[in-house]
Amino acid sequence: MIEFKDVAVQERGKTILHNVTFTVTEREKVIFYGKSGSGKTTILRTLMGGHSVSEGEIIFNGKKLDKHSLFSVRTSIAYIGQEPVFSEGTVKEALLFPFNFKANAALIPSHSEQINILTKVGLPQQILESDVTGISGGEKQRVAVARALLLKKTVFCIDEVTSALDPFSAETITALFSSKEFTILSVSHDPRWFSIADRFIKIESGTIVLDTQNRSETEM
Amino acid sequence: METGTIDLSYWSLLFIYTLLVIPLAVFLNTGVDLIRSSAIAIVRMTIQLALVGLYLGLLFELNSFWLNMAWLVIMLFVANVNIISSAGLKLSYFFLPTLIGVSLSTLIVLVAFVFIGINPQPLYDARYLIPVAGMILGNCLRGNVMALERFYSAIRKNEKEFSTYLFMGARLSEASSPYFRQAIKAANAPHVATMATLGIVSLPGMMTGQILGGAFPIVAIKYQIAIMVSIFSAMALSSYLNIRLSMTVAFDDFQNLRREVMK
Repeated sequence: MIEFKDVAVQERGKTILHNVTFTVTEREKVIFYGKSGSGKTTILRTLMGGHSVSEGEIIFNGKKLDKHSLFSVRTSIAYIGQEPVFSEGTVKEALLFPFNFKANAALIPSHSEQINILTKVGLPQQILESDVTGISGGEKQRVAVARALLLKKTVFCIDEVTSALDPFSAETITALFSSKEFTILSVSHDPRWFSIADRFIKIESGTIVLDTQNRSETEM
Repeated sequence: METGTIDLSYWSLLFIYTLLVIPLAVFLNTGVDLIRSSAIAIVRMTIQLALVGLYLGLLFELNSFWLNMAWLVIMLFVANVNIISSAGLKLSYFFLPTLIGVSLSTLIVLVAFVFIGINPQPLYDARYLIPVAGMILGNCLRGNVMALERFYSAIRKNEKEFSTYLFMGARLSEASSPYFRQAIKAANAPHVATMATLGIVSLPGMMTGQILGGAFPIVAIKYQIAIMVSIFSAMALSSYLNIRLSMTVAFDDFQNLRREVMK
């Protein structure tokens, strides 16, 4: 489904990823882990077209990631960044923001769908009218998760989604993504998140140093 | 009513220059570091205007179609180069797209104002074509520097937000639309404010110049209204076109802002 073939990424003359090769099959859940600055987030962002590939290629659903296939990748994968980004306005406006784009216009969620998704991420429905800039970091993260889920995708790129959450909320969010239907590429250090993954890829200095399905190897 | 302007003798002009002791005193008194750059600016202004005076005199006298067009092309090129460099962008990338934007918007308005509105004989009469083009371009220049600078600095400043929009399935035009709107507003709002207070707070230079030149106030006012509308239209169109056209070279295949296009 997703294939990185010897991918290298350069930024401002500096190599930030090199020789990155892996394949993710449908419904597989992969975690990239490693020290900060090692290139984990860059892998997710490169898949979304946030960085240009300087060497190698990325294949998504049989097609090479290029300017022609980019839009199909972005409309097939839901991305949740480490720091949620919202424009000014209410939580409701933040939730509905992606549906202003033509690509998502047909998916506009009803009021009951919005409340339903908020309940699932552990937020009260009254938060809909709150100013999104005034809510806590953990609440923002859950709004970002709710927004991504409303896009009704089955493939996710998720960056440290539980890092700003209390243990209970982290448990709730982790459970939401444990669905067998979902294909997930994620960055995390959270043991709860590790429990839903099928595969663990360790990144060091911009390249893969371990790719295993055995969780116990990640603790070495 | 008296026609013609009372000439300002060179001695009188020299006397006017003595007013410069006022800013000099202010800067000296406040310690503001503007004396050297002011001196350079005054000298440059004097030389440039003296040369333009000589050149325009010649241009008006010859009134040749090709010479007028050549001067217009030079004005467009110089304005374009100024817009790009003042907006902090690299000339090698933006020269063509912004030249098209500036030229198209200036020429459309110039044709409407001079060829259809004033309808001088000949149509390319330098006395109308060159000063009107200068006024339109001068104002477009300020507006477009603001538009391009605001647009690209907003995208750089809000890079995470911008890429989040793209990752959520936004087209480039959709993801950039908040910054696009801000930039268009920043470029055009000062002119809107100027129009709203014109005649009360300020008497515009063109109108004042015409009245000093002996024109009836009503004629000067009609020209002033026409030039304000023309500037406004050219500014709105050029700021829109310049951002849109510049986007064709400013982003890579993955719609990320290319760092190398910035100074």
